[in-house]
Amino acid sequence: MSLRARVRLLRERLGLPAFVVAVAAVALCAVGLAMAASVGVHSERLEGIAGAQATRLILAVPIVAAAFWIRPRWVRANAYAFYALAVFGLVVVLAFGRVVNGSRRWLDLPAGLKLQPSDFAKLALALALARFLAARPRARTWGGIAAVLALTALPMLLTLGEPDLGTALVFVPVAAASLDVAGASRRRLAALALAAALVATPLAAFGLRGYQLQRIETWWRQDNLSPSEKLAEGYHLERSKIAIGTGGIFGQGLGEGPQNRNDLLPERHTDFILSVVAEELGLVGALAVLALELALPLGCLVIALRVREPFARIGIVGIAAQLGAQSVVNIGVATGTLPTTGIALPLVSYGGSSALVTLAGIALALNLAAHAEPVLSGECFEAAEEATRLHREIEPSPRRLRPRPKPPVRPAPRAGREARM
Amino acid sequence: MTRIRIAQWLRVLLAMGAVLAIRLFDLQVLSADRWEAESRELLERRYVLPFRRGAILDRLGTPIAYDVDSYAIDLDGTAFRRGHPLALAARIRETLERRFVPLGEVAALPPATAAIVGALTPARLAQERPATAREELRLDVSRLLGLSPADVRRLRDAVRARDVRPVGAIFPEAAARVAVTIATAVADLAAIDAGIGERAGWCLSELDVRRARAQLQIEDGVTKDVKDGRIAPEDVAAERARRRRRREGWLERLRVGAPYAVAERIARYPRRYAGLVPLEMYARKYAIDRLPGIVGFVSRPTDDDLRRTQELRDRLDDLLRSLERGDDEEREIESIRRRLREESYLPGEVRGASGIEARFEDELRGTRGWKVVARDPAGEADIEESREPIGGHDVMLTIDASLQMAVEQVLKTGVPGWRSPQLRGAIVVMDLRTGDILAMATAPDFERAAWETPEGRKELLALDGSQSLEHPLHHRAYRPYVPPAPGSVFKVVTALAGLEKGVITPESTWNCTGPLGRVKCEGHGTVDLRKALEVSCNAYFGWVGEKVGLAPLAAEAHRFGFGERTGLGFREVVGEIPMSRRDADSVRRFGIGENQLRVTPVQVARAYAAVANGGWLPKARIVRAVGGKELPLEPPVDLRLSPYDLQAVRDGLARVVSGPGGTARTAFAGSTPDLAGKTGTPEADPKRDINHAWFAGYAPRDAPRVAFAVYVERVHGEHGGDIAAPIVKALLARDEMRPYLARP
Repeated sequence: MSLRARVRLLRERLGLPAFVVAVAAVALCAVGLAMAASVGVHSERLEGIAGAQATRLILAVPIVAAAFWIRPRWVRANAYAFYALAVFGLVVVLAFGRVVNGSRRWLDLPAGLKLQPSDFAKLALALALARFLAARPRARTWGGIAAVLALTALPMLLTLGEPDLGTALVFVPVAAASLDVAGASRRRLAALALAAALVATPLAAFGLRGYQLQRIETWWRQDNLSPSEKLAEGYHLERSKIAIGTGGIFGQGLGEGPQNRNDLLPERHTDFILSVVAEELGLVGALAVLALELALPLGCLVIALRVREPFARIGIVGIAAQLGAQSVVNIGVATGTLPTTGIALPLVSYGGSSALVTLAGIALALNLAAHAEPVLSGECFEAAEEATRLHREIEPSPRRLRPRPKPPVRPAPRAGREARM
Repeated sequence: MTRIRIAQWLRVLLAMGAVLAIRLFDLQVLSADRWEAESRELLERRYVLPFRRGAILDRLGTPIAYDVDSYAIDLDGTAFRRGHPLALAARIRETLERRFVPLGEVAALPPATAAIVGALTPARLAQERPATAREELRLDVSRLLGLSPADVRRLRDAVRARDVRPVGAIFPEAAARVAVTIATAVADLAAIDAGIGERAGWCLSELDVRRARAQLQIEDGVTKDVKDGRIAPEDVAAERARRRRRREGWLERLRVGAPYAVAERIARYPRRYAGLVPLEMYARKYAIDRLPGIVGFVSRPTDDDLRRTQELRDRLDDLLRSLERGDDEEREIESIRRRLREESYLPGEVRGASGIEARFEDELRGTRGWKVVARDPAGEADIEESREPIGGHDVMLTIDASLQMAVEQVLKTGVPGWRSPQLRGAIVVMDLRTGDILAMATAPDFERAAWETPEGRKELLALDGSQSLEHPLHHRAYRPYVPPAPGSVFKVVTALAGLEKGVITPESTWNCTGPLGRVKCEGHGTVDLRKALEVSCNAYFGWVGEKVGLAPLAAEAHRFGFGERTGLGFREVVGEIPMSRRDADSVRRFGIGENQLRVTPVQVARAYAAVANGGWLPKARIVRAVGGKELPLEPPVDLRLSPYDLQAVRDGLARVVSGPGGTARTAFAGSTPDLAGKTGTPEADPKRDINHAWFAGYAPRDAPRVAFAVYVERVHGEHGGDIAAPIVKALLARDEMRPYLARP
């Protein structure tokens, strides 16, 4: 199928949401380049990053195009392979990765390329979970949930081992959203969440590194830090808030932010790029970036609403969860709403792996959606879902208006609420 | 149902977005002022401008202690790291060799480093990971080679192209210069060392220490240096904070007390001395070295002082940042500001530790100034706001510096034919109308410099102990280690007590036939008051003392200022007046200035000033004016002595030096002495025939202007007339004395 045909298909089947997602992605890439240029203007160390980022985006184009073109069936068939590859990458990075700032996150490839396998693992997990949960009504059984947890835990623990708490935490919403949308019982999910909290609290107390606990503690009393704490534990938090607060409504102008110019904001080209946006483009710019960032997952979710093919739907929701979690956590950290942890702002932060995976994920989501059959309204959606019986996890909706036609072929009732009815 | 769930996720996401939007609004609009204030603080660099400490002047305005310009050298870590050839060379080698390379190692063999840099290939540079490290290494190499912008671009392209030619081949001229550049930098640092008067290499090792600390690779709480034992784990946070401060351009003090030449050199060649910043300061100088006992010392603030200052600053910082401040907090802020201004000390400042320096600390110290400079990446600093420092007030002493030197010389030279190489004692010269101390010398004293070295200080403290007789740290004029008895110089007081009480008249006679009880005398025959003073007849004054009685005599001694503070304002010894022993012999011995009577030379001079002054006892004073304002003169106390009695005593005192039987006659033989006075020879150690020698009096004889007291401690066998009187003669013969003896 040609690109034009595919775009037409998208426009016909998904309409505005797909358009919004695509435009937001391009706009965010542009903002990212502008910010990279702004950061590089006054720093010898960072002066070339805008060019480097542009190069990476251009290099990413074929892969993103491939993600857009690929047959969804092929994606589905190879979802586990991707997953295995990502896990392999995480193992390799733990074994051979280069230590930067005390973590092994980067894998050096020949020709000066480097990758962050945990970025790929997020996308691979979303696809693997989609495939797993789409095949049979696995989300309904404890066994299925356990399998999902295991699938999630493997890359998550490997990422935690790097250590990279921020990225590891993104796996959680991906799994949760996938399970939920796949129809897992909310009660079970709530029980799981409770159990996770009960297990995680002591684990966190002992397992989190000293600095991680310290960061949470510092974050908790962020308004009462001593001058020396502001230079030690509360450094990133304080500086980020100063930069954001200095921006005011309209900002200081691109490349004119005093914190940016004077190299007073750490990690400002990666995890704290939003602070530079807020400082230089003001509340207006920051809200615009926030809106664009949220437009990605929101658009994906709206698209998912119209998709009924379960692999596509769950996959798109997983990708949306990943995008949403990253944006919310990044902006939350920059504004001091959440404890400090390092996580990139999709498409705006400087970094090739992250941008590549984000763009590929979006392309894949649009691809999956374009191939799935269109659904026009809620009722039709429900009816069509049952009529096709491609899967059997649909439970009778209490709000169903029309009597449900008896399926022509029905296997023996399975355990669960369906059977009880 | 899944649709509903997806829709719920949508709403959750929207809600989170709303929370973040509200938070952004809060930070950027509602609390923007606070963040702007914090930002301004980060963007400013505050400098403290040192104040000039007030000078200590003599009565004519000659400076005795004063501040001279001095310089501190601060280290700007970032600039040093990025600009100094040695730092660049060391950093390049560190990256290549993956170890800490001390500056000394680079400095020892510049050609070796030059060879390493020259052999470096762009391909090797390109291997460096991560990209930031590669960039820094490339920048370091460009800077060390001193490449032009065009060459910098060439190097960058070569790195991209992974050129395998060594840098030395690509930029032959620049690479050849490296060894010279490093050698020059080492010579420059050695020149600084020489200027400061340090052993060569001090700067280098000091810079190394600071740089090693800056080098700390703090990686998420686990530092290489913790592993290497270079830094304790508990110091990591502090070190990280320090490192960030340094990175952001805070300055670290490298050295205080650098001379002008060094500061000027650094300022003249900013590129060669990249990272070294000279700052103006002051250093205390003493023009007259031998006044430590009066002028006193300044000392560096102690660690406690500095810690207190830091605590005050931190507290102020916290208070200023707390958003809700009540009246209590405002008051506390005011009080802390005042204390910081008036009581706190910063490194490089001094505080008065003793003498005038300590007593007038509040007046002498000034107020610091400050300036706020906007930080700018281009390095151009604009002064935004400043306050000039206010110098301290000058303190003008009553001492005449030239007379003081003359007096010290006289005391040091001693008496011709005196056996001991150096005598111990004191001289006080006082303006008898105002009580101004014109000169006040003690011997032995000590060199100021000796006290300032640890060994010298130890030696002085040993000399000052109870095992020693030297006691150089005790100014014998007002604070003798063992206050002496006045001996016969006290007879003036006994005489005036007897005259006042009416137990004698000037014409009363006493037949001296030798010792009276335990009071020794030689048998002067019939003596009246004048004669008794002239020959210093012990029996006569023993008799008078006995007739006056213990309590009235003690009261009279108090009236003349014995056993009292003289008004100098130092930690004086007040001496002792006998009150307990009431038996006849003891009272007689009190009458001749023995018994338990203990006095200081300043007290004696003051008493003689009263005699010369018609019975008006002046308060002694040593400070005449503060900050150009004359201190009000404390009025002398009228002792209500009858002029007739006084005249008799003064006649007697005149006859001491000129009368045929005068005890000081021999000392002044062959001249026409224009003074009056009294010798004294109290027993110090009767068994070994050791006495103190005194001579107290005033001059000129008929129109007195100055009173003086000369005290010589522990002389063997000699009398006041043999030792103290010749000193007075030498003193009065000095040219420096002449202005004070001129008749009005």
